[in-house]
Amino acid sequence: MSEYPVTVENLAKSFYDESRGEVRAVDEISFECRPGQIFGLLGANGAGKTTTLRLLATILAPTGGTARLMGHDIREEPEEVRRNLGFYSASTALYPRLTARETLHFFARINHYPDRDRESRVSYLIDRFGLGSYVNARIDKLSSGMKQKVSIARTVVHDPPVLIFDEPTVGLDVLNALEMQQVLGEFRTEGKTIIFSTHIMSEAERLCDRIAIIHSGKILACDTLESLREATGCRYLEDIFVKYVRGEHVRPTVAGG
Amino acid sequence: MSLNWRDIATFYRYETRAALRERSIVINTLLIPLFMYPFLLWSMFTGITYVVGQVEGLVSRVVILDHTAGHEDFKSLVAKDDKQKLQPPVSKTQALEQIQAGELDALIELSSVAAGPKSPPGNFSARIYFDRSKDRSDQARQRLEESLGHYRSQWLENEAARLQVTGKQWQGFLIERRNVASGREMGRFLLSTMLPLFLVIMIAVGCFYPAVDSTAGERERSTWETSMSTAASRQSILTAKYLHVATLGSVAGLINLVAMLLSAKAVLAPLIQQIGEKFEFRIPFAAVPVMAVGTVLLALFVAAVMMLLASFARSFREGQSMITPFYMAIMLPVVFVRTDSEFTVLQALIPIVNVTKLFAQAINGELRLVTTGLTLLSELVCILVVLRLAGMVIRFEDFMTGSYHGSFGKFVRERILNQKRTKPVGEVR
Repeated sequence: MSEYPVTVENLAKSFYDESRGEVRAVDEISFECRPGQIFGLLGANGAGKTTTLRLLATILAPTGGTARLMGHDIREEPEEVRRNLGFYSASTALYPRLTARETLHFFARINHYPDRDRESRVSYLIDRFGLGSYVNARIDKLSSGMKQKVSIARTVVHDPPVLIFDEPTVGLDVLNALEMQQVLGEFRTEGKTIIFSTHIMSEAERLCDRIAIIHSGKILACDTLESLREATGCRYLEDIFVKYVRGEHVRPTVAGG
Repeated sequence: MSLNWRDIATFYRYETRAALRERSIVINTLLIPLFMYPFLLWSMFTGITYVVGQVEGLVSRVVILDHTAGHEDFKSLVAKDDKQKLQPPVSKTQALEQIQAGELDALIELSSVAAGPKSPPGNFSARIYFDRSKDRSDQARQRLEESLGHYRSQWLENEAARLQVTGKQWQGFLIERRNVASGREMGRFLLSTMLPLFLVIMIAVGCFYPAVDSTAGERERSTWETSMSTAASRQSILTAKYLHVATLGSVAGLINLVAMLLSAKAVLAPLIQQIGEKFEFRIPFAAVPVMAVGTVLLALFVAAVMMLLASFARSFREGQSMITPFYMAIMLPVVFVRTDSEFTVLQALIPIVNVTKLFAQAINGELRLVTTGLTLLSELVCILVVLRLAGMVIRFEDFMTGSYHGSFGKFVRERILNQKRTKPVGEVR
């Protein structure tokens, strides 16, 4: 088993587009994520963040390289990878006709959480996210804030060691976005490995232990915020990001561990 | 192929639970099969009985123009019939005008036929004038014919007696019609004409909405990727969806079958009894397993095709329009196949047609091993072909992720028939 919960090695993904021909959405990227840390993928729209995360979640298959989650190869053992993973994104909506409770039970069961512990796990999450008063309401009757809570709860209901959050605060109001950040912080405290993508610099600054700047499918830098500051001589992440994306000269950062 | 039956069961339960909370699915899969066709059947027969009763309840207004001598008894016979009322005599022209205006229902004109060596004295001919475009006038014609028939028989008997000829001598031959079919056989005949058609339609209706809902509907609701990001394999998820759609199709068919049988017994039999017939609506015991297997196989076939077509759609509406041509194609054989004609080996090889004919054969208690075996085998082969095709399609990542733009036809042309342009980017599991 790999030393790190997540190891990415030369991961690549190309698409065939009728007008543009072959498009390299992810171009041989490599990085590792440590337990109890939030790893941030920072990039503009179309930089390759979502494709990278979908590759790790085995929704897409790589065209080059590979990655291992909790020692399972995304090419060889996709079901095992997904079992050890909680994946949250804008494109993974909740089933509208199930109740919140049914949703949690369903995801616990389908992700192979032990049957004997399922009821207590669901009850715990209902309490933790304050779902009690509307736990038996159908999802399509819930407000967007409530749906967000149920969605986070379903992502972690099988207690996966690795969590992926793809731009989780997009479309949320300020309070809900702050709540989301707080929840991510709590998961970190619990020892989860979190991969988090965003294009909002302040979020990355506040949350991430390590940041990878991704642009045109390539990782331009990957390190702690302090190291990135040191390498660029810039204080703010926004300036650091611009410096890397524009290709201005910076000291090399330590990629990986 | 990575199938996990525990995951399949979990997804199957979820799909079914979610489907049964969707009004359009409940209506189309459960309520319509249960109530609509039995209700239509009841409405149709009640309507017919009502209309017939209305017409029969009317007294026919008739005029007799008698140009003969010695046939006054016919007038008396008509006058005694409380369903016919003799109108005051008018001229033929007036009577015809009155018939056209709906003021009179029929006119009968009796004329003498000159007596000769071959015809008895007092012989006569009769001509009835009526308006066929009016039920009431046609009814009057029937009643006059009936009265005339009775009078003619009586008159011939009297003439024969006068000439000392016995009935056997003057009646050269008699035409008698006798239906040798029992009430049970007549019931089977009626059921075999109706049930197979309704059954096929109901299976298609039962599969239609769940097939769209579990594929295009999932994409529209953005829950497709939610399902694909679970620990279940893609094959397990799709198998669960497929079994779910096929189950609802089978359930719709079987519910309709039971509902039609019960309503035939409870509604149709009494209505038919009112017109003097006695039908027994029962299907042979041996038909039940054959029909059940046929229903399930047909549902598996229809579900596979519908899901394959609908899974290229991105919205429910698009899914519906992608399935509709296939849905209509199913209806064609159902409409044109005669269930009472011979079930040939060739027909046993044609999907949909074969099941329709098999159902009719089963209901009539005329199952033959060859056609039954060929039908089931043909259905099985069709299912396997469609599933094989589906297996080829789901290897393509852009299909699975919903990023492919186009229909099933376009996909087959581009990816399966012309493989050099594009190939699977990677097998998704």
